[in-house]
Amino acid sequence: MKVIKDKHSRNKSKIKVEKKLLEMFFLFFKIGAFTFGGGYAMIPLIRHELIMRKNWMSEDEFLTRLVIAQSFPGPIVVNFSLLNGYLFRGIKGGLFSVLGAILPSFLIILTIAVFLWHYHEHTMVQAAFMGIRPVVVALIVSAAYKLGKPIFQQRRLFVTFLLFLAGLILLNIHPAFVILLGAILGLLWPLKAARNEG
Amino acid sequence: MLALLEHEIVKNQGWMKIAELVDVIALAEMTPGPVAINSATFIGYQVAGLYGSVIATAGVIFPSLLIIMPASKIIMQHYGSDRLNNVLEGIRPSIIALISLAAFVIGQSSIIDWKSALLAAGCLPLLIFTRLNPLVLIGLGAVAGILLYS
Repeated sequence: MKVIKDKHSRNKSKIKVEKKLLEMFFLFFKIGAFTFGGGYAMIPLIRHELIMRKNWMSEDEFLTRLVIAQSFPGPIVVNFSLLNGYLFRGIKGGLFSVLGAILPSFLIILTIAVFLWHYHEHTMVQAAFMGIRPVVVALIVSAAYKLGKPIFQQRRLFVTFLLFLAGLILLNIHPAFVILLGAILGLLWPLKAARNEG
Repeated sequence: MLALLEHEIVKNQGWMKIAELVDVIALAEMTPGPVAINSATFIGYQVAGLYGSVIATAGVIFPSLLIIMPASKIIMQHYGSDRLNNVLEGIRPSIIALISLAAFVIGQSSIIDWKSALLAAGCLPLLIFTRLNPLVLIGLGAVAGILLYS
């Protein structure tokens, strides 16, 4: 069943191989304009648009590309739109897609920065932000907890994490250096347990 | 990303105070689109006007542009290989450490009294154990702030 579906979508994408640059631009524009809350909130919408409505790729292709977009530095939306645009229509495709994805953000933020941000000095707005700030801290802590859960269960990774955090806070190490160190450590001293699981 | 933002913008460049940066991040979370793009556009505008916002936003995309497009075909082939997995595995503790650092630094300037400490402590279980939309909490935080501080 799945094979048939894949074949079907592949045939279809061959027929529609001329994916119009503007069509790609507007698809990612829509995704950029309507997704609140960043990366993860956006996934269902992208899936709906790309697979259900446009039939541009199969479920498997979608998942692989999504994981790749996540594994690279930079915002997922940016990576994902670039990757897909490029695989569909080369460099032009990548550029049109990524422009579509970021233009809504750019325009909305610019509008706020130019016209609304001076209300920021207003006492009531200040008070509101004093309430929002602790929530942002809780948001970040919960993100660290959720993403870190598998790591906290493996002693070596947990110790690495603690050492890195201590280095960042106490020794003021540059963040990029910690990422590089992690990558080297992963290459030279791979976790066997994690590999067996995967 | 937050840790890097704090390091570069507050410490190295002195473009903003931490409290301002936290407000920008809150704003970036509340508006649609990727947080990195939103905050870059905003900070760019604050620091250097319209051109600043264009350049800062372009700056966020640039690394992805340089890496993803040339590498995409090779990655598609090597995806799932042991070596790539090992690197990704090794980076994970670094990323969690960076996120924790951001929480630590931002917490220092955001949690200033028992009211804000209570607010953060109250939100945490809601975020971890329920599927409550973070936007709802940000809204509630704003209301709580107006009630508690004005």
